[in-house]
Amino acid sequence: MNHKPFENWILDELHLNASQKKEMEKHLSVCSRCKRLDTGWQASKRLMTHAQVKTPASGFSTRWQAYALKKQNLQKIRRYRLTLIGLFMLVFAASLTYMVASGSFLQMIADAFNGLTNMIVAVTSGLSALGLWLYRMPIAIPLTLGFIFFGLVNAFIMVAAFTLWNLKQRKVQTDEIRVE
Amino acid sequence: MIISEAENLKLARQGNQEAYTSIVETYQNPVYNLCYRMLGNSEAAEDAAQETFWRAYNNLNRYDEERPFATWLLSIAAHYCIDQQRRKRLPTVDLDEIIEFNAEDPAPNPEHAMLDTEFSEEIQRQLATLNENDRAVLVLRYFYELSEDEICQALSITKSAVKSRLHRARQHMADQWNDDQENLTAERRQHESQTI
Repeated sequence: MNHKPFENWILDELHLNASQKKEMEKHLSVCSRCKRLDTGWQASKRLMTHAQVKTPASGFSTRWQAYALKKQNLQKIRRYRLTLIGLFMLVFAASLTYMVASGSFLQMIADAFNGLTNMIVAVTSGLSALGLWLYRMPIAIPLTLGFIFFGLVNAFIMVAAFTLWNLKQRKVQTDEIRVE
Repeated sequence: MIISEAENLKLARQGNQEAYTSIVETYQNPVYNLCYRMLGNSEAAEDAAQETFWRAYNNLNRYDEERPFATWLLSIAAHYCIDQQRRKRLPTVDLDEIIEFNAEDPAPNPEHAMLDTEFSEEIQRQLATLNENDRAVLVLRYFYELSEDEICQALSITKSAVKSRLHRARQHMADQWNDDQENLTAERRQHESQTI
């Protein structure tokens, strides 16, 4: 049995002529599959056309006015932020252009590089002097100082780790109580 | 003095919020109903309806006066609801909401009211099983009686897409209804056999 044309007639809601209607009725009387489809669709359609129109709770337009006011305020804040960011970018771009154009930007880079080099030299010579100073001391003193320093650092790390672990445990316990 | 809709629209375009509020009052029910049918619960429908009116207010200058205002508004609501559904992908039926007593229902006959609620509950359960695109097409076609051309415009899709979505949605609704009936019959039989 060829169901396809009849299924299409049912599901596409085509306007059938008299002979097509007869053909359809004849088919529906013998074909349970198409009959089921037709019954199901007609029932669903009836449900849709008879369903009541859902209405909002009273005072919808008043609530809408409040909503619109809130949205307008948000829009204002967003515009204000955008203007500020725009202005900041503009000032930044203008000052960068000015610095590059006037040559002071390159001078600034050169100064920064120079300062960094001086700092590295100073740190290196400082460390070298400290090494020389420690070398002249009896070995027990730098060793003791080292133990104290690294001991303190280790103790600090352990206290921090324990505190974090403790906090996490408390959070887990609180969550369990909430669930109970 | 009664101001026409066109006059209200003109005033609203000039930034008159009072004029727009009267438009909100005129269209609140169809917009809310569409959102409810699409989203399945009253809280989400209220939010969606308010957002729809806000979006329409912000885009009033883009509104083409050749088109009916209601269709334009419904198209905004449908698009918004489809987006919401895509984002959430949550179950859309809230049966408590469906069964809730509607104090504003003017139906004087309690039997009619009961029947309406049953229809509403049944159809909402069936609609919830459709995907959001097919649901939008079906709701616009049968709850708002829009033609296929109007649905094309409202959802910005081709006529063949509307036809194929309607075809698929009708098939799904028919199958769903038949399945529901079969389940009901099976439940009844089980209940009867237990009683005996």
